[in-house]
Amino acid sequence: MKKLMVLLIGVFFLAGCAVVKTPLTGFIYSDVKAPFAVTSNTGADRVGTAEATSILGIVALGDASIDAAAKSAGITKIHHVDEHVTGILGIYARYKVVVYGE
Amino acid sequence: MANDKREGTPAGTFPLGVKREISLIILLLIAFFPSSFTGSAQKLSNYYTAAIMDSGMLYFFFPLDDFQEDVSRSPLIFDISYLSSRDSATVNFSYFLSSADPAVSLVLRTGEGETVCKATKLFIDLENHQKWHHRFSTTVLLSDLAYFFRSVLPPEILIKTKDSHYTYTIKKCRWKKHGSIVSVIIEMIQTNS
Repeated sequence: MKKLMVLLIGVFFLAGCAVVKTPLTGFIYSDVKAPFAVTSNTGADRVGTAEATSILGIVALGDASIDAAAKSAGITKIHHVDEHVTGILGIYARYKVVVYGE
Repeated sequence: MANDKREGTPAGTFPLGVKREISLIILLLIAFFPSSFTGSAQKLSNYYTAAIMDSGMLYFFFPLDDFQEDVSRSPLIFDISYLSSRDSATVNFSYFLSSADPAVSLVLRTGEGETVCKATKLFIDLENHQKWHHRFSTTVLLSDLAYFFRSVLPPEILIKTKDSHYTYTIKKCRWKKHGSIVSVIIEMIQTNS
């Protein structure tokens, strides 16, 4: 039982390491999609993504900008933008932006 | 007496306390990672997303990076967008070289045939001094994509440039896993169209 307690306490403290912006918090595991922005442009036939990752809250790398996502698909008119957040035990976290447009 | 009993635990079995801990950990895993204990159906959302647009349903397959160049082992990263009111999908792809070498066409090659698609440049960027990021786009008939992903044997993707070509292959185990899932999603899209 002591080992289990140590494990749970360890998980609890690790959960504060690789933190990522999210509308909902899940300190053991999170996999959340959420709206980010909407424009008045009509229609979309292309989708672009961009992402950044964090490991243990020590190293965080990537370009998760809307600009990078739009550029990756050649989008010049943005229809709407969603975000997708993934986090595991505070060890690994990923923030992905998904841009819809034409 | 209690100590005597614990010492008497047969070899190869867990003491009572440890067994309880393992059961608790398994229960916690089942509670917090339900998707890990169900079939692959729920994992489809890791591969694609769909949004309703004025002109139909817009499907997007998240980038796949399992194909590697034969010599340099650099990856080919591609994603697929498909609007249900059209017959073709847009394939955006990235490849990385030590010098700039724009693509002319993308070739999807299976054991039974190949599809050649004209490539259009999105951008070419210089990353990390000697790594050129080539980003191109092409359109492929959805039926041709379905045929490609239905291939039992791992297919090849060729990028043809003006003076050369680069061959990208995928490991059999990776193809067995990802190819079949993408194939199922395309089948679902075709059924809905």
